[in-house]
Amino acid sequence: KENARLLISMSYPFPLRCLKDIKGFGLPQNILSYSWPVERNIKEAFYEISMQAFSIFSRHSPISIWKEEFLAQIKSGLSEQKEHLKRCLEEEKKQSKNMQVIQQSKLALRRYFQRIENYLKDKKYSYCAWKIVAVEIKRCFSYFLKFTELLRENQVSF
Amino acid sequence: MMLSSHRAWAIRLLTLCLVVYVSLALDSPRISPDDPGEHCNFKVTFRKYRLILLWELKNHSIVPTHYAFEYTIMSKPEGMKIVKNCTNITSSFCDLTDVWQDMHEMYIPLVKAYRGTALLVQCAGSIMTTNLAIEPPDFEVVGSADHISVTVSFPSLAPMVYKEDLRDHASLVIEEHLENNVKRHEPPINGSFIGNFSYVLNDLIPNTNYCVSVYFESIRFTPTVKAPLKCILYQPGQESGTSESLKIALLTIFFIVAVAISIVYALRQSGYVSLHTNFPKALIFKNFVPWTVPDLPLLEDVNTVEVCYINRKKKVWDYNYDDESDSENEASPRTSEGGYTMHGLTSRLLSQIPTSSATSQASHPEDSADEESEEPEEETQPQPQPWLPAALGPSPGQRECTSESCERTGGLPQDLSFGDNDSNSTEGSGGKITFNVNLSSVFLRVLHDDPEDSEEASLVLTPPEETVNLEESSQETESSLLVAGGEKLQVLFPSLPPKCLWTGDDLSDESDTGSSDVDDVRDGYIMR
Repeated sequence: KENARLLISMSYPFPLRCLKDIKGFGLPQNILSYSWPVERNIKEAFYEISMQAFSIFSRHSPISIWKEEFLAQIKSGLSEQKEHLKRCLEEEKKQSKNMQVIQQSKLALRRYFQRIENYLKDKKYSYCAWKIVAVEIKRCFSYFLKFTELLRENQVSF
Repeated sequence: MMLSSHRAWAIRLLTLCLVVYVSLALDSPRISPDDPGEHCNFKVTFRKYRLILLWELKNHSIVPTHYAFEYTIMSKPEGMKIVKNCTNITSSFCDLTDVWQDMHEMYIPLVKAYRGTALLVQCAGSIMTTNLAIEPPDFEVVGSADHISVTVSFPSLAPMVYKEDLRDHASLVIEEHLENNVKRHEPPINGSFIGNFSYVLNDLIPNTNYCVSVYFESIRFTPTVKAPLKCILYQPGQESGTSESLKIALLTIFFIVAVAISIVYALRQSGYVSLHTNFPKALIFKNFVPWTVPDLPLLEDVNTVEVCYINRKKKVWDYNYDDESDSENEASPRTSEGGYTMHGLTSRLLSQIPTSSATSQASHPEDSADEESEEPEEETQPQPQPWLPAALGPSPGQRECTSESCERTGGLPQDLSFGDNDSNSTEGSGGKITFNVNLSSVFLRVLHDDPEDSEEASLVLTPPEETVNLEESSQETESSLLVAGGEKLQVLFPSLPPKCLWTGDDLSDESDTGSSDVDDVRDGYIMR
């Protein structure tokens, strides 16, 4: 949630002149379908998202767009999130036998973030491209937050 | 050669610098705080269970006449979308309840401010649904005997935000404030936020002021808007706020009334105030009319009134031919009393003669007859009455008038009966003419327009103000008396020719005969 708030502040306000660079990246929403095991699937997906986002902000640091302190906060948050999920997944990995669904979800997410990275490259890491990417990553985080709330309220059957 | 190579190198270097400089200028990913289009502050709120987008121009000096609202989304490269109800609006907000329905989407609103047809400014923004501020619901706080009840008002239909039930996005929170302590309550609500919801606050400290606030809390939507505090003094045994105030009002009124009654009673006992039931007539306003309307004169027919003069001249002849006796007799009548006057001819204005008076006078003939029989020669004080000959019927003397003369007199009735015609003789009694008129014997008869009535119409003149002694000792006197009488009569009847004036010579000596024969009614007159 904290990372989402940081991403919101990165993308807001959105400049009008960047509307022409808007692109659809095709977030894979089907990976959050209510299939068994849902809880592990969500964690795997969330881990993949955190790792990919951290990679984008680390390899192509948009220092000129956002302040260094701000970038440090988001990278720190994503790293912590990634490590937490990694530990959880390693424990469950030992117990789970069905990994096919999980691999498909991870593959879809990797393709999704690849498209984002390609967009940045194509736009040459422009100001508007970074703005659009920040908005998209934030959208991805928000999407997953909803399902974690549902998971917390036990609305998803396991 | 060497010079050209140097020049080429310089030119190449300069060109490269220019390219780099231009590239840096164009593609420089620097921060631009003054991006065009960011001239508005946007705010999205869930107010009264409606999704409302509000905006405000940063430059308050710009006052547009109307706005045009458009938007697009970030997830797809779609063009600007127009909202029907927000294309030409004067208000600075737009209801997007049924338009924005993806909570994960980032919406890009575009507002164009116009003054007439001129575009003043256009501003764009980015709205994250997570920026949604859910405003608190309406609620009431009511104190009871042993608890405080908080009633929250929800709509009749389940409120939807971004096409999802609000219940899935937020929970209701009730905060109980006691001085510096805040107690949080999360009442369990089954289903959606529909209808009214009541929550009871227990375990309260007596005689303590409690303040309550209600709001929606969401983990997804970051802004939390709390309602203003509503405070109530908790007093054990109180039923409700409204009934308590009503009781206090009733007690206050009762106390005031009791004090007022006791004061009045004390004043009465002390005698400072005395209450009476029998009021003087002046204070009785039962039939009081705040204003007096002058009585209008009755619109009634004014009829010519016939004044019937009853001549009850009695001449007692004692077989004495002395003049003194006559004079004595004459004197006595002059000074007699009992309703007699010498001339005895007066009248009143017909307009002032009421019918009732005519009736009353008409009832008097019997009395006057009785009085005359007792005191025939008495005279009364002259009655001061206005006298207009024109208002009267014909005088006694007019019977002898020709029609022509009578017409000259103003149309006075032709018929004249002042006694019997036969009794109207010119013979006098030794030149003495005395009229004794009992005023009480005068009665009135209304003259009608019928010819039959006109025949019976007669004039009876009521006595004038001044009594006239028509006694004459000689013919001169008689004539003078006649003249005097005539003059007087002329004076009294200035419009009548002298010959039409009756001087009393027509009186018959036989008038006193047959006193027992009291009434000789002829033409409405009584002659004796």
